[in-house]
Amino acid sequence: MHTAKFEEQALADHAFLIVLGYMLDNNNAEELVRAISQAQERNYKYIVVDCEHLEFLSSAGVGAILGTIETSRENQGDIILCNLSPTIAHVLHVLDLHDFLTITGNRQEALAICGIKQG
Amino acid sequence: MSPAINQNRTIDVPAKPTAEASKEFEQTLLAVIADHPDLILLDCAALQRVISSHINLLWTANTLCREAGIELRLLNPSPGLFRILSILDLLHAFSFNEMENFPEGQSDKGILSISLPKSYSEEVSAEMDAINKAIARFVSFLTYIGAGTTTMHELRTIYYEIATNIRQHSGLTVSDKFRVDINADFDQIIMTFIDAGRTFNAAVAGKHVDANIAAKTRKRRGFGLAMIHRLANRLEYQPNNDKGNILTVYKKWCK
Repeated sequence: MHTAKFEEQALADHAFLIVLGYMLDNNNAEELVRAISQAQERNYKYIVVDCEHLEFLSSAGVGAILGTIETSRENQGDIILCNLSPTIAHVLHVLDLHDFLTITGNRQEALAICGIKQG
Repeated sequence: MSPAINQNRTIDVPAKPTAEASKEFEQTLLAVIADHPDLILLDCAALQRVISSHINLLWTANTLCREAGIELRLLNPSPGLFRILSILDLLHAFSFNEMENFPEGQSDKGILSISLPKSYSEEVSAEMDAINKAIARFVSFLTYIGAGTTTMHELRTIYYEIATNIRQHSGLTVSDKFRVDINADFDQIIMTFIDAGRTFNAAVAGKHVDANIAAKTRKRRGFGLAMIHRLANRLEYQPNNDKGNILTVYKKWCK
């Protein structure tokens, strides 16, 4: 998946999945804000952001997450990041965001936080 | 199987210097030395990941040839081998033949006397396409000098954040250019960004990111400078004469 475009998918009536492309930077950070905001407006409490393909995260990408996460948390939900590569995790660690953000190793763990049971 | 020897007295240095391979290499070398050629070439093309055993082999060969009065040259040294020899201060103990695996345009014997080609400068247009291409060249350079994955990612991020800051906030137009000087020292990479835009001292910007406040205030911008500070080891700023900025970033690096 060598594209910067996202894939979006409802996982349940309260959980929404966004699969990032290989890059989240100035060019598409606003697009992520739009996708998250729309999901929040449609009352998805949990938004799972799958970073499996993400190779580069700029400050604008960080801002897209930080700038929208409070809306989910105020609604007793969260934005959950999963499948981070070591380099992306390192950037979040360097910025001291690893404890603030909800990060899981894989999508299954993220779904478990959302209360979605896997078959 | 014994190391290959051709008519030019070239001996392949084994990629995997096991005890057996090392013994065969030394036996082959001694056999060639016994013929008293004027020159022996050690082909290091297989040494992409250099370990101490490789250095031991090269040093042994160097010693044996010197004692026998035979000139020894290394052939096809990788940038990684160059760097290891540089770090060990052994670079000047060896002679090098013309290199074949340096990037086009840089296989100049003159380079050999100053070791790894470690710097370049370029002017970059203040627009995204040019910046992305410049970053791709920078990544190629980092790959070439053997930077490790994490270091490379950190440096790429630093470059991206500074270049996009210049593009967005300096007032430069797409027809304007800024200059980037890259210098890879043994233990640090120094990146200097010179622009003629609005004066802004990026080195005094805060390193701290308060995630709670940023989230509560729905802050979506302004993390770039903190990111640069956190990923770099040191920033230095000076005004560029009466107009513009010179920002120098120091970053320790390792393979």
